[in-house]
Amino acid sequence: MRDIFRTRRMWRPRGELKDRYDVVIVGGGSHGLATAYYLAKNHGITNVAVLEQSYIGSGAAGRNTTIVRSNYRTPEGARFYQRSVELYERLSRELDFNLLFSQQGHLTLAHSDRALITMTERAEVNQLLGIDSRVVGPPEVARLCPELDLSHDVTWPILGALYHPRGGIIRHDAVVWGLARGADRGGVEIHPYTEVTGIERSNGRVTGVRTTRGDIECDTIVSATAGWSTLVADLADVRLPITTHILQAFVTEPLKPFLDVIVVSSQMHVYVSQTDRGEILIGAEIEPYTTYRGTSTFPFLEYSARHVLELFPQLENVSVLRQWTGLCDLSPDYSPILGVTEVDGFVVSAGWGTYGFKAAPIVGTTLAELISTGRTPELIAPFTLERFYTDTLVSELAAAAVSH
Amino acid sequence: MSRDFLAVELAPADGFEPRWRSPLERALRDAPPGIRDLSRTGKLHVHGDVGAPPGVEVVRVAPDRALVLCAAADVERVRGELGERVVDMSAALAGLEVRGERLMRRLADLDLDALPAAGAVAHVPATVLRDGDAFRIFFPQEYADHVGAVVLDAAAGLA
Amino acid sequence: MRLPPSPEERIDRSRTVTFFFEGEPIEAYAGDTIGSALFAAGRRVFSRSFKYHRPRGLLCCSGHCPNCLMQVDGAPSVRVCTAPVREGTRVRSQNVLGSLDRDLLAVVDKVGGPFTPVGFYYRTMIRPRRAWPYYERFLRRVAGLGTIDKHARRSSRFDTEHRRAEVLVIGGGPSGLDAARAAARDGRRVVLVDEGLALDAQLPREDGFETIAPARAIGIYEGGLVPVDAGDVLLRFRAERVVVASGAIEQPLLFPGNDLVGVLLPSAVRRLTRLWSLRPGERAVVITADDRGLAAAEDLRRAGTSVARVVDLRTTQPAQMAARGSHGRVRSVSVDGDSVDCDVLVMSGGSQPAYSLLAQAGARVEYDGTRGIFVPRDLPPHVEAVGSAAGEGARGAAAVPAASYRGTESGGRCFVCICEDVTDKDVKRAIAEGFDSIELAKRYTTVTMGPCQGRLCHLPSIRLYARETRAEEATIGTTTARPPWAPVRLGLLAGRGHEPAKRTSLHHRHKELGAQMMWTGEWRRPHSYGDVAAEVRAVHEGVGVIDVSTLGKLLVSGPDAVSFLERLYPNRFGDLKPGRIRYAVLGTDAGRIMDDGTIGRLSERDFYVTTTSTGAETVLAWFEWWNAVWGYDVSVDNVTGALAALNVAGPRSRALLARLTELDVSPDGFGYLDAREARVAGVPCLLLRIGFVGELGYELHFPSPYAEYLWDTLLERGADAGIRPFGLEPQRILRLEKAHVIVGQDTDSESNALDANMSWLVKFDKDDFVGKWALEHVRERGPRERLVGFEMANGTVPPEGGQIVVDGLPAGRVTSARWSDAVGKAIGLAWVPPALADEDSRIEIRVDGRLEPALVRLRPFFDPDDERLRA
Ligand SMILES: Cc1cc2nc3c(=O)[nH]c(=O)nc-3n(C[C@H](O)[C@H](O)[C@H](O)COP(=O)(O)OP(=O)(O)OC[C@H]3O[C@@H](n4cnc5c(N)ncnc54)[C@H](O)[C@@H]3O)c2cc1C
Ligand code: FES
Repeated sequence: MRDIFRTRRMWRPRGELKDRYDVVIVGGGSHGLATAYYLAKNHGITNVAVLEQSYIGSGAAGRNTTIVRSNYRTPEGARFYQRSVELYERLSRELDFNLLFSQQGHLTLAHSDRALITMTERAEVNQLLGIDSRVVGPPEVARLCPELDLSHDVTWPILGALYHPRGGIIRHDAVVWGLARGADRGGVEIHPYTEVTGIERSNGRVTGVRTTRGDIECDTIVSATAGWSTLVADLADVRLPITTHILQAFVTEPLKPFLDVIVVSSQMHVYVSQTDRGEILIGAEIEPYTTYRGTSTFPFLEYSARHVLELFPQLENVSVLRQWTGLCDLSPDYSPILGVTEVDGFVVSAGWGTYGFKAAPIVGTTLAELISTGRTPELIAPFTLERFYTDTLVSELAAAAVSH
Repeated sequence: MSRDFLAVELAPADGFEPRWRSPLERALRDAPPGIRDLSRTGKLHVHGDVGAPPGVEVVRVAPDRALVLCAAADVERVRGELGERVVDMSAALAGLEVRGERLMRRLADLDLDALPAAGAVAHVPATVLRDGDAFRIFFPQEYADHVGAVVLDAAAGLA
Repeated sequence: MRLPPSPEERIDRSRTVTFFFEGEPIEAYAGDTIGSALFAAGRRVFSRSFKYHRPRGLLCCSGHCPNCLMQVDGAPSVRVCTAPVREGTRVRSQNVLGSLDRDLLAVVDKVGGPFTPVGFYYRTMIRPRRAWPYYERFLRRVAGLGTIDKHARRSSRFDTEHRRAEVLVIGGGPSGLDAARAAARDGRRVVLVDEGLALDAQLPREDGFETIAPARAIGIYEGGLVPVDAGDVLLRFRAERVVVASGAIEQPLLFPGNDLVGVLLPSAVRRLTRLWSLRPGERAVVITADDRGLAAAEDLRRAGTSVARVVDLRTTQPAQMAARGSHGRVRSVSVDGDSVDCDVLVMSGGSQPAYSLLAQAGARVEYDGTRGIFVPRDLPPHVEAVGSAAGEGARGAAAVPAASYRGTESGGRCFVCICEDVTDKDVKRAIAEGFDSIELAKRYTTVTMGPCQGRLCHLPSIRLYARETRAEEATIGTTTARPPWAPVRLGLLAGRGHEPAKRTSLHHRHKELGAQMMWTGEWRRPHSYGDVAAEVRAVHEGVGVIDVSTLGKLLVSGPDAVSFLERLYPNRFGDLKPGRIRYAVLGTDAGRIMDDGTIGRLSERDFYVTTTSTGAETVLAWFEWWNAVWGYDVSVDNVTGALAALNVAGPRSRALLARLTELDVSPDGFGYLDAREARVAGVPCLLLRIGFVGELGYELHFPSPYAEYLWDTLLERGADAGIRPFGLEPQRILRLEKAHVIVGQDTDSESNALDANMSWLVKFDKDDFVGKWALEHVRERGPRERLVGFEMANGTVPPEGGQIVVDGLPAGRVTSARWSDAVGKAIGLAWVPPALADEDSRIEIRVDGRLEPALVRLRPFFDPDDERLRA
């Protein structure tokens, strides 16, 4: 309680760009800032600039629906996200900034036998890796979420659910600002409104970047540009097997506590949580077409409303206040593309689709380690870009599609 | 082999009396006046360009495909006249007629002044034709219960 | 107390309506809103503010602000100032502890405490971590406004109607009406919608165009889609041209005490006095930047309120301005040290074009420094703005007021955003902390994120921000518009909520027979008819029949049909004789299994292709796409719904069929994997002799309108052979006994035909086929995992999805598992590491946390040599 009335700057005002940095991080979202923070904190690498074309958190970091969980399908994925959840659990204290991490539990509903099989598979994999995750039947679902309509005269009766007690939601802006403050205090420079327009190379390795505020030399470039990943990788002539889609979400007016667990229905393409501001937050699946244009659509509101009311008929008179759209960089196997590329010094964090926010801390720690040691940490070795050439995909199709 | 197994109108055979049943029969049991089952209309898919033989209606449903409507009894004849690239879809599509623009506007996002056209009715792919105040809707028969229920419900909302 | 009747008033004094506020009956006139009736009954405090729980009263009376939100008949956050009275309606206040007039949480306003500075929650409650869940629960309880009855069901009816208009005019003010008339004169089909017409002066019915009110456009979306909230009906307009005449929104002034009860915007004065003949108070002060304030002063005088002072900011620029109150109600206002007593304070900070719809439609919004407002520019082609929505100063020039006015030394709070209780201090503090771009400041302070959606706080917050950072307002820009333009109920968006569901022609027969139905994709199918074991037995020993109409069915015909299919599938078809059938697996370009089914050759150039039940649409789209790419002379027709399909299976199926058809069904006349056309019970059928369930069997495909007839006939004529209908569950057991794969269950999006033990169907010697290179790569690198059968050592049935464990880690997975009476064992299919994929390999499967042993089996568990199948 000590310093809440004291006005303390979160970060230094933006200064001039230097001519040279050891590491340039493109993208001031959660991944870019986390990488910067851990470079300084864990490895003492501080001659680092984060370049952001707009304000920090202006991309998916400030638009996502903030689900943090680790009940993934593949052992590689589950292990990786579990480490991230553990880092998030400590991060408020570490940053001395309350990220409002609410581990209220995460329920993925099954409306078909097939879905129950996939959930059993996930639960079994999770349990073998020490992750709290289990399949529960309708009575347990009713106990965990009494608000749900569990009757059978609905289009999609609820046959059970995958329950993940440590899954939760977090305040996205807090994550961005907390990491930015941590990075700034560690000595990293953050440059908002600075767009990267070119990547300089010689002899197959990076030498610098061009920006809208001048050119910079550097040894390492990290692209943490999520929805813009293919555009930035193109600047280095690196081709990423990624398509960009939009993902939409909306919130209702704030309500007194109504729902204290996250409810996901992949079959109905909808997920629902209540934020700490009281709003009911509703998200969906990515739109099937590829685009960089982030316009919100009306049919999205209509079908999401239809499906939400099927789960929660009590919300019929609750009003939608705001809808918005973000860009998602989707990889073919729904797993990220993380680490080195064929261009020396060009490191990527991409392919995050609809699920990358939960990974920010683990991306930050592992990429920082990679940059500092020059070796790919084991945890992210399965996610190299190379896997698309060696056909060793890590398929999370069953666990990632709508579950974020 | 032919494709006789697609034909709905049967010549009588050897002691059996196959009974045809409309996919909408149950759904429209309690339908108010003005809603009619047209499932037994003859319906043919034609690839490529189609000339229209007498007594049929032709609706272009895709650049390279048309839906041809005719009386059930004429399917055989029309199929013959339309040549090779014809598939008898009489059994595939259910059909119904509703009356009133208002009701139609609650069922489909279509320009009712630019019919016939293909589009979604009750979220289901359909072809809609207009005759004055009456609208004929043809759609995959497996949605018959669903579309029937939506139509009756929409009509009830306007009653 | 009402004023004497006036011709303008909207109330019908001859008709009274009674509703309930906090359980007490309130009498109103027809034509009142809940808000006007409560005001008439003497209520001044209508809500408590979000954070400080300060009393708040009517401010705009136009549905823009958060001050009159109440629960109405269980619906949260209803703006009662625009909600018409209805007999018996139950109205309650929300977000109070105690009552509106005595809210215990108002203590927050008095003592301040840790929960007041902007962003406090980021900086508190971090340690100890154990305590956070308790803090969190507290935070959640104080957040939020309305409450929901958790047990309520859907109770209102909402409909959706699709409309078309050549010209859609949004807003029925003078400029909107002019636009509508002009377009109608040009012979266009015009519709005008207005959110408030029912409240303000009723429009004369005009010829030439249709008027819908109250009806609120909630957005302008792609394709000219303009959804309109017309109460219980959502009108989805598609318009060739949209004219936005949404007017302007009156803006508040920023000074200490600007949120006190009794502080009004001019529109509130106009509506209270004119529509409902109410006197807003006894003594008023007006502070205005434009003529709206002057008009309000006139209205007040006519209503018998004395106007003690009018400050016109166009002629005087006060340096100091503050309102003071007691018990939350305004008592006096001081301007440059000159204090005047009053119980009404009208403020008018100019008006801001209501540009949201335009911005959402794609217009750029630009700050006009000389007028101090944002104006829309660069409208998209089919959208037009008229009147004050376009930024035209309809009522004469306005002064640009100060970003905020200083109060006296000890002055109260000055609110920038009344929804979120954000003060000018909060904004300054945010800037000082480094949230120094408007977007960051907005997010940190949450200005514009409340129920008014920025209508009353966007412009003032930007002015303030610009002054504090010395930025040019013009360089600031605005946030992207986040639709909808006004809150819209989920029920209205959802409409009637019917979801398309597919049913086979035998759906009702199954129900009549007592089947338990289950979902498979969009279809519902019988799980069983009550006795799974008996249904399995019938197929093994007698005859059973299952409805397989859900199979996707495609006709592929044309001179290039063979080349087309050979290029799509890894299989070969050129050597398939007419009248013969082949099992085929469809692969993706990456060599993954996409779907499977049987392909029968009907003639040289006609093929009949079946797909999985859930795969039909995907496969059809896949076929059509490749057909377009390759340009073959082939046509593809989806006949899924045209044909019902029944699988008649079991040792007695042949005898049964023989009774119903003239076709030679002898083993020589109609062998395994033959296709025939014939009448069965008088119905023309395509008969396929295939055996997914592992016994002698025939699939009959025939026109769906005869499904019930043929089904009934089979059951009748097969009765003496003990025929039973069987469902999906018995089918799953039967096929598992044969180790037949279900694509999508035993395979997933990463499985390929080689690892799934189907290499026999992959013809690498073909020129090319979809996914060939990928399968070649798989062949070279060898399998990563293999699909095998297994039987449990001790009879436990492992869960589907269960894990094969090696060294304590997941190494494979069970995809299917069942108990089989016929085999006398628990059997299943699983993906295992290649090293464990040999006959008799021992694997361990996790069941309820224990490891259970099993043995790998590479051949079918039942009738391994297919003798019964081929009989
Ligand atoms: C609606 C929605 C809901 C989601 N829900 C969840 C969820 O519940 N859980 C979850 O884990 N994930 C979720 N996601 C996904 C998650 O938000 C993203 O995967 C993740 O935020 C991506 O990492 P980031 O934060 O670093 O990206 P971003 O915040 O997008 O950061 C990338 C930044 O790069 C900047 N940039 C781009 N190009 C350049 C350039 N040339 N020069 C300089 N800067 C540039 C952009 O401006 C942007 O700020 C959701 C996404 C969306 C859109
Ligand atoms: S007073 Fe009702 S919305 Fe402002």
